[in-house]
Amino acid sequence: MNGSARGLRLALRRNPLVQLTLARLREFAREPEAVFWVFVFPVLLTLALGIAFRDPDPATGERYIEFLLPGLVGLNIMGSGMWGIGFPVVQARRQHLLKRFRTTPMRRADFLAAYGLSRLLFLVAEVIALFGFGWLFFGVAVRGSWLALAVVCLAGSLGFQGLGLLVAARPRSVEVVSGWMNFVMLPMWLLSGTFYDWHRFPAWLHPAIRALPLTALNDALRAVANHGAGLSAVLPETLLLLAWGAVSFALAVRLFRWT
Amino acid sequence: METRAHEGQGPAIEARGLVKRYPGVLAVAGVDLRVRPGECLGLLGPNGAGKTTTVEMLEGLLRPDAGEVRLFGVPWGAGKDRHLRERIGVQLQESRFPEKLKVIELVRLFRSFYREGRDEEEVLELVGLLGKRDARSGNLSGGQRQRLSLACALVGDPRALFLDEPTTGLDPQARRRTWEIVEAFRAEGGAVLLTTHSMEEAARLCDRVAIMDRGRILAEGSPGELVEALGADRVVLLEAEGPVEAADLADLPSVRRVTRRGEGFLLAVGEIAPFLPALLERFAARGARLRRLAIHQPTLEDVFLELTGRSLRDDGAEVARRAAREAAR
Repeated sequence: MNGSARGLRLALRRNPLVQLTLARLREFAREPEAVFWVFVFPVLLTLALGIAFRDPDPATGERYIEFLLPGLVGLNIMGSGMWGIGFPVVQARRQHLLKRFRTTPMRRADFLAAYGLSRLLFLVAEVIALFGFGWLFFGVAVRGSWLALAVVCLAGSLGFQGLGLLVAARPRSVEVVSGWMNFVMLPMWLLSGTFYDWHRFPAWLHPAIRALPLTALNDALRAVANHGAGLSAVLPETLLLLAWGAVSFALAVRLFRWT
Repeated sequence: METRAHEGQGPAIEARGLVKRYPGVLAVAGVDLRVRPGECLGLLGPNGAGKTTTVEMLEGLLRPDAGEVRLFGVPWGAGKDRHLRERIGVQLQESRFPEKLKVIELVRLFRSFYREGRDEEEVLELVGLLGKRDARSGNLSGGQRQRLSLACALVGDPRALFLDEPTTGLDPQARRRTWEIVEAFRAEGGAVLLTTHSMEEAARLCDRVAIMDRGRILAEGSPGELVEALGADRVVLLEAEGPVEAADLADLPSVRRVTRRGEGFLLAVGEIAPFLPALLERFAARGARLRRLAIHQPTLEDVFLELTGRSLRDDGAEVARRAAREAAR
């Protein structure tokens, strides 16, 4: 029993994917600023907006916080997916750590998968923190299935990780990658209906807005959380998110600069 | 393993006709070199000589524009790159580790990339960092970080080691320790290629030294051979106050060569006894005064100076010379 436990420990120690993932988790957990922006800030934002808009709309009887919360989850998945990949990749490139890794037999796939895996672990915590907070403080319930919610979050995270990796594929400085990150995310902040319904924009803009990954994520999260939609109802959005992820990931791997 | 049986025969590291161009610069202009197992080759040259570019081609990080690299007889890009990477250890001069990760975590991370390798703690002990096992890499001194880097290069139990200026910035004690580790690695049959601009390091560690400047290897041999090839028993550095030209010095007894060196002259001299009185006499005859006179046994530094006309360390000299040439036009 003791022997097999030690055997497992050693196997985990010698597994590059496990070690790379652990390194990501440790780096994140030991960075107080990152923990703040990913966990504390969204909760504070929810708290502030939830208090400001706590009363139901007299016309529809709906509360703004119910509409807002899924949007904030979507926004958070976008931010943490993109920054969580983009920032550390560029940092490692700038410090020549990527180059150093290239001199070892480390597989590219392990390296990239470790980023994805560590993000997914955080994703669970982020989503639970936000919905849990909304439920505890404002009584916002998730009406649809948790499975559908999990699948949508997963697809969203993978989509934005792909996009984050693409943006981070070449820059050598944190300043440059920050600029590109904001350039990519800003239109979605404005257009994708996080804080207000995107249908307010003129109709000719709708196809473009609908194609944005954050729009798909927000719409799918609202459908599940607010309207109790099942997995099949949000399949188009889920597939769109996965497509964003797959295309940008494929491009990123082709463009990726190790030095 | 089958491959190990072959190891003793062929070179561990071999490069032929390496060329690398960057826009407007020929960074490496045809380099050939070989390192056998158990041997240490030093690439010696100033910054910008093409050392790092050469080493990165050897390590399979850069693709040469022309020429070929083989490690243990296997070229890069022949579908066996991973196999080659299992067998080399690389220390990059400028690479930094994530500051928040602990020493043991980083060594363990690197160990996990290799199928076979050494125990992490044993390697830390070897480089003298076991006491810093649980320190974060961001809290290490420069010298400790260099040794951590060496530990990460050694943990995969490599057969060839590439070290880019491994002791730059180390205190004398850490320096000696690094040298001992490299010597032990060689003694066990490992091949070492190191770049340095420390003459002392090259003389101490290297079986052979290749002197590199402007993308070419100017001379290669054991430190002793290179110094001997200078043909000087002594090197004399002097500065004159008054009308003394190179021609006035060249015909003095025992003088083999005279080179202008900044404000003074550098002389390669055979027997010193007949030279000195004749020198003083010549100065007296010209009415010149000897402002400075230094005599030393020739070193690799003199070899370098002789070959390139500049010192290993003063990177500013080339710039100054170019500026002077421009001004003279």
